[in-house]
Amino acid sequence: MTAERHSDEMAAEHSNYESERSYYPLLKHERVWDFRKYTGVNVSMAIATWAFMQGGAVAMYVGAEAAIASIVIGYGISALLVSLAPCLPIARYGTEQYVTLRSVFGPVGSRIVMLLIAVFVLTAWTALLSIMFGRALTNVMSEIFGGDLTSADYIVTIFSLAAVVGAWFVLVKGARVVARFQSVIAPVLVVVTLAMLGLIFTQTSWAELTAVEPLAPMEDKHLAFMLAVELNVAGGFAWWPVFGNLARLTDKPRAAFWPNALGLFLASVVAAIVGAFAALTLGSDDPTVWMIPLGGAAFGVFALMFIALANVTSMVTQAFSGITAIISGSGSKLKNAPWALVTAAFMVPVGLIACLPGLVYDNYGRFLSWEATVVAPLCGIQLVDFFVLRRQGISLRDLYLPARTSRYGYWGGINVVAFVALAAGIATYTMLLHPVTYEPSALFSYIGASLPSAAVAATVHYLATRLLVQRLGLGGYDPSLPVTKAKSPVGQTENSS
Amino acid sequence: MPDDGLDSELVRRLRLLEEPAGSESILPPLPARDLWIAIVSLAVIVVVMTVWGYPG
Repeated sequence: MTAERHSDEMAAEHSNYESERSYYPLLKHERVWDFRKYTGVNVSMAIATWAFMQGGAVAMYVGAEAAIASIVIGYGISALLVSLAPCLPIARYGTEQYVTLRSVFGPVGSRIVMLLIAVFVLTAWTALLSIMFGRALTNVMSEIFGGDLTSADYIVTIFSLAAVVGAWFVLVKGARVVARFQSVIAPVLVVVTLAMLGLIFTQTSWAELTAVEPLAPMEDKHLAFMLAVELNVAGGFAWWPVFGNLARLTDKPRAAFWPNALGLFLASVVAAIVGAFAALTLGSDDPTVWMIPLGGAAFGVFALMFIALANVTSMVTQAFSGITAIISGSGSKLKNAPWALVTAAFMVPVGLIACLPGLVYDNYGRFLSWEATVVAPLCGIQLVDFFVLRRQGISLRDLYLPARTSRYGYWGGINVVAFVALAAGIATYTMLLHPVTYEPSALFSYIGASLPSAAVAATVHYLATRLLVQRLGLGGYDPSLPVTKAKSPVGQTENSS
Repeated sequence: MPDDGLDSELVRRLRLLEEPAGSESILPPLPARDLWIAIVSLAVIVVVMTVWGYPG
């Protein structure tokens, strides 16, 4: 079975996957999520095991109260920005995320962005989840057989690779079963999260908790707070590759916006705060270490096994997103390749990263930083392009026309200016907070890194588009050009300007 | 508008979506009021959280 056919058939097995992944723009009757359903989706995505890691990472820098503040501030800012772009343009036009991005980067440029995200970001997230699986099972084995098996990295790696192989097997045989599991996993994770919160406060009072020092306290409390805020801003931006295509299925603009801002924001905040509290109470930023000391052997083993299962389903989801993006982005080259081979090729780098748990899992903050280096400027560019330069008006047809005839053809299908803006954003981030050394600059203490990089990228994109691209007649920025319009709520056609 | 090699299903969908008065048209933009409510709410939350949680 070819890769394209298998991914189409798999997608067709599940209505959400079919609509989410379909190349075609969605019609109104295909938009199956209203406000309530999309809120449920947001909550189930946000309360995931990585939220616990987020909280654990924050606890390295700040205590309980500052952790709450930095989590609320950081996630609030990035959840709002991600709710605006990519979610709103995608929801408005019903187009797939990287099809929508063609108006910004051109059809070839959008494909480049898609491949970069799929290859570098989604493989890393899939590996991170496999390592957490490995750590979870190793802690279970330690509880059953005694001793601390987590100090033996090779045991963690063996379990991690087992998760990689297991996820690959599910992908090959039938990822549609994952959707059924996910409807159970989310509510159970909510219960586990709330149970953890309850257990924490049976062991610790609020006064005791707020007196606990961070796991790696810094002399410069202000810098520590800014690093915690930045961690959470980056954590919210990490949703950029995922939420656009979900918002596509919503039936109204308010249904596309507010559930992100409320569901994604609030649910992430609650889970991350619980994670921070657990880390401070138990003295470790590793969520797999918390469960047994927190709830005893029975609760701990159940929670760890459940985390392991949840991580496998999340791995399949992430891998599926990455693989379908790579297949779409590669043109005809991979569409006729055997699905098993394509999925195996994706899982190879996942497996390699999983063999180096210290690279990603033990450097979660840096890992988020690597992703934010690219995604924050992408978000800024898309925001300014859609809301300021185009005033929310796009030609839907031109998104699908070939580069030679589309108004979004730019230079051979690539908007070079958008990539220059992206590079400027990446450079800004790197100068403010080095993604490899994680060394902040002096300026970082005042402005962070993700937001300035998004702002610089947006500004460069705006100025270069006005001064160059628009003057050359490229990109369809001329306000006199017709755009696809909607019927307004009062029955009149909206104005395009 | 030229269809320029677009497949028939895509053309069908585009025609439905491009018809502003049709039942399958694209969605209208988010009302500006919603955006302002979100921005102002976030600004208030940021200020309150900073005042309350900033490490002393």
